[in-house]
Amino acid sequence: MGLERLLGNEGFVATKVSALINWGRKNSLWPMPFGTACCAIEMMATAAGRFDMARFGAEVLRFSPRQSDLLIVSGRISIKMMPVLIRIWEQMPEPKWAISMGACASSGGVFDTYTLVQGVDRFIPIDCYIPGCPPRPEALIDALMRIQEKVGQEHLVEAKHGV
Amino acid sequence: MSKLAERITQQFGSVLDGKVGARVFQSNGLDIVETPREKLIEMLTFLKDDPECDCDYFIDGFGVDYLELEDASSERFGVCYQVMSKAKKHRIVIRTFVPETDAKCPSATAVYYGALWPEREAFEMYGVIFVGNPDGRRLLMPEDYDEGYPLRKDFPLRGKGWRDSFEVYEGYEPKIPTEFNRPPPGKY
Repeated sequence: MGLERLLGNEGFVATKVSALINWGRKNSLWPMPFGTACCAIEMMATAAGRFDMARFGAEVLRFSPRQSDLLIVSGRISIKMMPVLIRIWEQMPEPKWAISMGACASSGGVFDTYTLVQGVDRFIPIDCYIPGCPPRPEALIDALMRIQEKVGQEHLVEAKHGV
Repeated sequence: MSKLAERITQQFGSVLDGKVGARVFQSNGLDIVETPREKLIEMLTFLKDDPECDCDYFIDGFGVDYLELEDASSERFGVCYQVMSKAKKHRIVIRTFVPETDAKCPSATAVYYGALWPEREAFEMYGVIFVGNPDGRRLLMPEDYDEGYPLRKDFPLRGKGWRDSFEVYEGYEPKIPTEFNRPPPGKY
């Protein structure tokens, strides 16, 4: 690929293990989509060709929490749905990150009612919030890049979510 | 008045005396029949079985809270069923009133089994108990929800504090009220 020439034909490169692993992790985030409302439509648009999350290595949007490391909560979460979301979050292996997409997931939004969770961050740790109702795909891409920045600053010896 | 409403009037003329709760009228082009709850099942059975009515399709069933309505009858809750005929292309609303002190209504599931889920919803949202409904579980809210009946007009929009203090439960066994006559498992 021409990489050898860039490295000066020496055949090796010196770096930190954490930098190498973080580089691999942040460029291959596998999102777990938890779409319950209109934000999920924008999330699908982000994954589709026009905005193309695959440019950031995050194209593997599959409903398998055990194989993913980035939870995208997009949509309103009712009190009855919250245990399901917590179960999915607990099924994801460490290290893992979470995006709260849109006003409803972040704060309940306009649904200030008896049945809705007023912000999923009361139950699961959120790394990045996206405002908007619903946010544009650019906003989700921005959140993804912020998550990538955060992943790049991780230290390997630290347990992230207290396990 | 449509032919269907005329047929109902002809059959149940002795019951429908024209007062609120026992009358036939039109609203937005739709015939509405108000009936005492004692006659509800008889009327739905007639609508389904009579060849001129032939109402074989259950569209919807729901409850209404008439707390703040000016010209409401003395009973607080209304229960509405909307049925139609696929062959004759006519539809009708059957409405009955249920008082707050004795919020019980005969279940339409014996006639139209499609009324099962609408009645479960009306039960948990308004507290109207449908006697004879084979499934007494809640439909939409969590099983251990204990704040009351959310769609009643005097229920606060933000609830009564339960949403701020509920515990996340791992699983639950459904609690079935004793009012309901639950069939043995396997029948449904």
